[in-house]
Amino acid sequence: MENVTYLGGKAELAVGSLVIEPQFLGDMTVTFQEGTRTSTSLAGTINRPSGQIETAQIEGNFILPSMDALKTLYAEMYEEPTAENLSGRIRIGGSDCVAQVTKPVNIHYSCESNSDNDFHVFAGLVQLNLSLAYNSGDNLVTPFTILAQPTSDGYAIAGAGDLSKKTIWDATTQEWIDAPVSA
Amino acid sequence: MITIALLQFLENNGIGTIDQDMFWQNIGLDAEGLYIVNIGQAQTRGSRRVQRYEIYARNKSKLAGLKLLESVIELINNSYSVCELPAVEKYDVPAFGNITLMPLSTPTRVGEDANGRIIWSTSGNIIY
Repeated sequence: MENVTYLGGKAELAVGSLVIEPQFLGDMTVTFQEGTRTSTSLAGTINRPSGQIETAQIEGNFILPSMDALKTLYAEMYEEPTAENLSGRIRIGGSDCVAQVTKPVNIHYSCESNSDNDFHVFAGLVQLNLSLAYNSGDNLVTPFTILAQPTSDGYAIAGAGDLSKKTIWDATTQEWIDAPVSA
Repeated sequence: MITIALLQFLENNGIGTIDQDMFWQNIGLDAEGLYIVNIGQAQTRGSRRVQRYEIYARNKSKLAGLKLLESVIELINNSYSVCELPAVEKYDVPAFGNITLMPLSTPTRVGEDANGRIIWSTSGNIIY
């Protein structure tokens, strides 16, 4: 009898070169949805897929280890400390213009040794979506929203990063590298 | 069997030694230390398998058992990112991959046995 396998487990999120480890990630939802083209005919209303992406986003919750960790999501808004062992900050608003750069975003099952079951967005923009509930009983958690942008490669791929060999996403270099041999 | 692998994980992290002061499902009359007990749970299709368990600490000293259990709680609560529980060769138990160790409860004082030993417990579950 063959063992049936299903996907599931802890996941980590790479946004550009920074990674949110699974212990700091709450639930995440990936939504890519096509629009609907509706036409009315004498035979009734006909709904067809529009061929255009209307929703392309990743939503989730970041369980914050520190305010400094917000740089993972809001790198362009981050102000670095001026000496070691100090903490940085993000600045919301202000007179300086902040231009966001698209970054690759990769969701990876932490316990898997390759990218076979990854979800990869080629170019993501993090939408400011900070909602902090202060209370004595819960860890500080903020939701986040990453909007996928169209590229010449498409919006995203679900599955293996390279179809010719086993690879794993390397956030530091922001490219797929060879997976460990045991993969 | 995954709870035997959990005991091995505890042993590898310096909590104790299997069959000396850490036991599976029951504990000898004279022994002191930890024992782990499986608790069944209904499984649903579309959800990952969950093994619930309780860990008991039995010790003559009220504080020693509690301290031992708190070191287990601290270890497991900081091991969310652990992916594998190790194989246990002497019981022919394989390693378990893609596991998640969920945080343990705070300790409960269960009571005192006929020999005056204090028993503490904590409960948790493993998703795998």
